[in-house]
Amino acid sequence: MEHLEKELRKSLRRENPSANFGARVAERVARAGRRRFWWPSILSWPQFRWAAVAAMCLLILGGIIYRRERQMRRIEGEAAKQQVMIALRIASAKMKLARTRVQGLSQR
Amino acid sequence: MDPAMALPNPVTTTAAALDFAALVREHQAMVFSLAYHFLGERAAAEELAQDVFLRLFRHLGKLQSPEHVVFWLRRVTANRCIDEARRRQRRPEVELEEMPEPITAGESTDPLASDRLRRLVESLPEKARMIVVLRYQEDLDPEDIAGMMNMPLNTVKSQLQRALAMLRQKAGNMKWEK
Repeated sequence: MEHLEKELRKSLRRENPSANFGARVAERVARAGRRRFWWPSILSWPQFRWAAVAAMCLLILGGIIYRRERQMRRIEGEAAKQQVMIALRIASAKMKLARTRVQGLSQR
Repeated sequence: MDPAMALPNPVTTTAAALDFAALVREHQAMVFSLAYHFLGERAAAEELAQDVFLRLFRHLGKLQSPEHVVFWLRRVTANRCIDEARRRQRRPEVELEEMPEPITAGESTDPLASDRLRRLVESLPEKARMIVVLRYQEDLDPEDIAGMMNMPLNTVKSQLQRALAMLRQKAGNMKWEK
């Protein structure tokens, strides 16, 4: 092995960090843990579970009501549409009749 | 399997904290030295080493053996060092004039020689620098370095040869070859 490589091994040998390095790592881990892992503890609260169940029930109930309301509106809309169509058909027949009469009068 | 490697939730158990503390004690010199020899600053190296251990803590459940931990630590440290060097956008180009008095080949125990050589290593380009540090600090083969840094073996070998040539050139007035 050449001298440069021997010198590199000596120069780059492992060194220890400062004495309180481990403590500072532990502190950072604890700090990150507090910041990162606060929410799983909320999940274990019984109040949270009940609130989640209640929210789910409300959501399902709301969905059912919304769906029924939409269905009703659609039926009402269909009925209104039918009525409009009938009215248009009657108006059209009347117009046709009136035009026939006016044409008959003008020919005389 | 190492019990430290199979932690369901590392935050909650005291045993996990103790295992993790043991891992930190075991590997702190390796991680810190990789960062220190690469960055050349103790404070920055300690900060970076702390980041690496914080990441280790979050990944403990995914690491399957002590060897895997060592491999993971080296790889993450190497990547973080290169990222940090790029982020700083500065590469300490050390001029020979700024360095301490030159030494002769026989004075291998001289701390000034070690310091001078470390500073020369710090002046290498990022990837070449990390290859040199892994090769001579961790005594890794080019194959291991290639696997760790996700580089082709021939690239690692050529970068290593080029780095040694650069070091030899920069230390031109020193008699490295015996």
